[in-house]
Amino acid sequence: MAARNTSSAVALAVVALLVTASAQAAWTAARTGGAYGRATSVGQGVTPTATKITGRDIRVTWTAATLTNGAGVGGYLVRRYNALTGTEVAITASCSGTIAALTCTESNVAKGSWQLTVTPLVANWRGTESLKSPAVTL
Amino acid sequence: MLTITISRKAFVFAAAAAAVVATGVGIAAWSTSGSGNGYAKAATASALTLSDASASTSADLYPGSTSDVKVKVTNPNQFPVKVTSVTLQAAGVVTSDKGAACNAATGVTFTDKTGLSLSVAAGATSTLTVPAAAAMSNASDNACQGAIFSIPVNVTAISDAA
Repeated sequence: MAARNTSSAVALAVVALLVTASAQAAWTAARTGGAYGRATSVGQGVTPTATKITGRDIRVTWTAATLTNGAGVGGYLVRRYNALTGTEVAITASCSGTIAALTCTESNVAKGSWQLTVTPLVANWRGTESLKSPAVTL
Repeated sequence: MLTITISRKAFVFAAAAAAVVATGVGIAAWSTSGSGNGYAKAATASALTLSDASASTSADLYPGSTSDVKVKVTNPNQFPVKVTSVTLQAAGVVTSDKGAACNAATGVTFTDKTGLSLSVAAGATSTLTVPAAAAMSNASDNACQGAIFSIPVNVTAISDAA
């Protein structure tokens, strides 16, 4: 039994040497498979504040939204809704399109009671629209 | 009883291995003094395997950004290896887990990485980080938010024994 164990030890040592020798060679292996990456997402817009400033102008302000990994967003879409019916109406020019700032002012807005929202975006990505602002009445 | 069986097999293998070593030495000695070629046969290395590393990814990609990617490598060999390159397969297409809308415009590109030195121990499975290998353009579809992207790659490794 002792002799067998000695033989086993010698055998394993020889095997180890062989493996080491092969490992030291410039062995190269190519393998095909997948690498993986993951996308973050755009967070929800922060509920804006709508303020009547002069005449029929409404200033909309909000705080910055972020991506879920904490990065900044690329801009915001501003929407306006009739506070009584909930119907969305076209935003006026100065607040339309992508707004990079955290405020914009609508001019010559029709009389009525209005609520506004902001939706953060990055390129084609859109976050969740904010809750509607408290109503502002003109 | 089991110990005895293993010992016998090991002994037989050792004897064969010793013969290969001895033969190799003999041929080498001959070729040194002669004009022929010397040959030695190394033990066969087993191929690495790659598996799903999506669970190890962090959500970093967004339009205009770059991000690390993860590769989960199993090294079945009895010696450590070092991954030296991760490159996109020829005609490889990046796909997502978000379906057709995202797959039609992932916006994700992969930059081949060479000169890496990412170790995988003998008989081990390691999830490796390939730095700044993925980028996302503004073309990424809205449906790609939160997506996991699978990027078909070739991984090359060399032995890393001491």
